[in-house]
Amino acid sequence: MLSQAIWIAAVALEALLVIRSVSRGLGWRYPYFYSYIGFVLAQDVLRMFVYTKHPMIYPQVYWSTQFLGLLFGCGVLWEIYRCALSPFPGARRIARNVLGILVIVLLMKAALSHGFWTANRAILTTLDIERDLRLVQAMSLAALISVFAFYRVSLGRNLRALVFGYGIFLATSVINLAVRGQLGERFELTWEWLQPSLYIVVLAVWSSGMWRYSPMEPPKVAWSIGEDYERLARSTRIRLGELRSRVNKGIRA
Amino acid sequence: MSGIALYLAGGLLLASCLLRILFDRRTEGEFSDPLGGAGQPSVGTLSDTQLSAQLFGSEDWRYVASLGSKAIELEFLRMRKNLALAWVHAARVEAAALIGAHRAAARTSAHLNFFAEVRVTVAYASFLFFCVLFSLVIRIRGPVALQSLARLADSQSERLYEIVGQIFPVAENFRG
Repeated sequence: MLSQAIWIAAVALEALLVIRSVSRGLGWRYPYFYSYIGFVLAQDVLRMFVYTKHPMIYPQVYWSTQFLGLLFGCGVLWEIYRCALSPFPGARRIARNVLGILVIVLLMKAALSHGFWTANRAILTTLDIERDLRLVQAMSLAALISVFAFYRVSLGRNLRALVFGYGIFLATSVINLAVRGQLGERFELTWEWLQPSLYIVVLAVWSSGMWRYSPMEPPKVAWSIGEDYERLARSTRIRLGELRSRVNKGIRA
Repeated sequence: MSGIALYLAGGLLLASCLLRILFDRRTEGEFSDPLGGAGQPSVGTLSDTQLSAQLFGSEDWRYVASLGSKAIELEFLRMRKNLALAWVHAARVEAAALIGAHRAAARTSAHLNFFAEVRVTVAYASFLFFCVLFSLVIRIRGPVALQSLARLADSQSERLYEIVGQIFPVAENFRG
């Protein structure tokens, strides 16, 4: 009964988000996010239909839509990256490099632990793939948030909601996928209602934050240095060095 | 089990990042006026060599010790410690202002060099690290004990910059 109520609430909130996106033109502003929401809404309805009418094929439908959902989720990350960093080409370049390094490290880790170049790859389960992809997404979002914090990128209301909602969803998913096999049946029972409840929280965050279009504020401090970045970096390092030597000299005086 | 630890760490790292932006009250305005925070110590005090000589030197302490009063000694040490901590804090504020101005300019530059940015960040992080270390030594052993640590900090910083320069080479070899 509780799970049914949660499911109805989730579908209602997803439908609300889709309706608002059409009526407020938000879909054009955040196309990847609303594609994701549209997909999740269709997926929920389809799954419930299959669950009640054709329960035999439910596992196949569940896992194939779950995998598609992962790909749509990458679109949400792309939306956050694209919208938040478009006024900041320098910060965008840093984010691109950090994300590149992160993906290479995680791919290497996956190759080493799953035997990427051997026949072992064939025994990877869908759950393993989901767990690994969610981890890549979670680490990528953490890296993006760190870049936002480092360069003081002030996200507007909409992007803040996107980051928070998807962040809560990813963090709880990764933790769940990591510990569900270890903690056994008791945890499974708790998680059966805890995860959908957290998903309702995520949808509530999105519904509230995406209620109307609220773009990022343009950077208040926009110093144009043109092609003089190298000079800026050198000057900062020299001045940091001077400060360090002043401090050390002061102490040794 | 080590695999699970990685996933758990990933989830918790993301959760902590979310909490950080939820409770982070710092604003972009700090870029325009990085020294504007109320109650910040005067940064100019760093240039005053006489002040630093008194703060970290042992001359005053020798005089106070010669008075033979335990109460005066304790009060002197307490005040000297607070002043030294404020002095180190002023250094951190100045470095934060410098790096804030750098970030404000760098974030909009299409010509940003990733390696150069990493080197600036490492230089700043090492400076902060030594400031934290200085503060710790001041709290534990008092300002006078800092002198040998400052010599070590100088040599270690130089070595660190050399190593970072080799790992992240940039077109022009500059040393801070």
